[in-house]
Amino acid sequence: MRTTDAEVHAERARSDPTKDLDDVVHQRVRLGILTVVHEARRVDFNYLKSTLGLTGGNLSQHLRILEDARFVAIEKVIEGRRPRTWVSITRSGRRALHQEIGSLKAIVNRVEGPAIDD
Amino acid sequence: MTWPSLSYKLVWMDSAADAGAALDGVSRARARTRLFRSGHGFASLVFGIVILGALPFYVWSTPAVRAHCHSLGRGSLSCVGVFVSRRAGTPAPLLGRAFEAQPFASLGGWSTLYWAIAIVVGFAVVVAYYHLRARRVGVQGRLWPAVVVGFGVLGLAMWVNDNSSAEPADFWLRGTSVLVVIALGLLVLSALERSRPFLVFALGFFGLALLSSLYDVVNLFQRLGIGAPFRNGDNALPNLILPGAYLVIGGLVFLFAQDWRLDVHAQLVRTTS
Repeated sequence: MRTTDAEVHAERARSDPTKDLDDVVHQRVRLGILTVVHEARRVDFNYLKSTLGLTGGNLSQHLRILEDARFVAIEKVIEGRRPRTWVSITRSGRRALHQEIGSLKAIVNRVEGPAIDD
Repeated sequence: MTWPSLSYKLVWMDSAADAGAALDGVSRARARTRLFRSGHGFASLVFGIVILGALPFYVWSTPAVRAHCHSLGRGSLSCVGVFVSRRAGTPAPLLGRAFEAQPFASLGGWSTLYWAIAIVVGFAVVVAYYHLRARRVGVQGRLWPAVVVGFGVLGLAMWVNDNSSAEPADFWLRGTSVLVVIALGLLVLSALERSRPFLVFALGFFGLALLSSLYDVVNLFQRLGIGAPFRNGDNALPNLILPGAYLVIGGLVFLFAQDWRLDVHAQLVRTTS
């Protein structure tokens, strides 16, 4: 039986990868934060600030959202009489990041992939 | 191309451009963090120095020959020459015989003590370097799995060597199987740091570690025309010089490459800001 274009569209709509995008992770800065902390055991607040080109206040806001979603853990310590903030990714944060990147790749593949009736 | 597929693509175009830009950003942030985090060049350098530091323990002494003679009568003697190892008086092997230099090495018995201290100090120095570097640059990598694997393999090698009756004797014979322990630690480090060039380098070192444990590298040196300095008591040294020099030179190359890439990165940041 031949599949019609309408059926293909319906199927694609059902498997819409944008539906898998999590608003907490999809935001550009928060995606950057999760990507950076995923690459290390933990990352310093100032390193995140300089890598992502953010102000301290802006970064704090995004970190709070990620911490509330339990995607990152924040540890405040005193090192050499100076306060220091270390950020690490949690297991659910790692899972959310992988899902986000998978969805982004799926979207790109949709456009770069072969057309239906070529 | 038919209209339905074209319209379908147009619907997706905006989100795809957005997704592509996001993925580019992810790649850049990932590359930068890996660059700041990595310390494998220093680890290679440290373990290369550790290996080269063992050289004095692998210099063979000229074995003393003690002759035992007895008279056969009518002025003739029957003598038996006995090679006497100079190992007497040196400590019992701490890490099992696997890491003991060959029997005639003048400090052979001490080699196990050297490896016991040097491996622990080597790992401690690398851990300290990662810790200090993390404090300086603000990125702390994962290192403990490499240390755990290193000591785990060390313990396993000791246990197999001391308890197995079917041990691969040839593998332990040259007393350089500790190189395989270092190689496995470096392979785990390459996986932790997700560095393909370092993985290739660590695999190369693993090959050299096996070669040094199973083959007299001095033969290779002689074939290459560089074997002249290694005669008599220095025969065993190429088995350490080759892997040690490989790690030292490779470690320096990785360190310089990292410095250069950090400089380039800093310049890029200055020009774009």
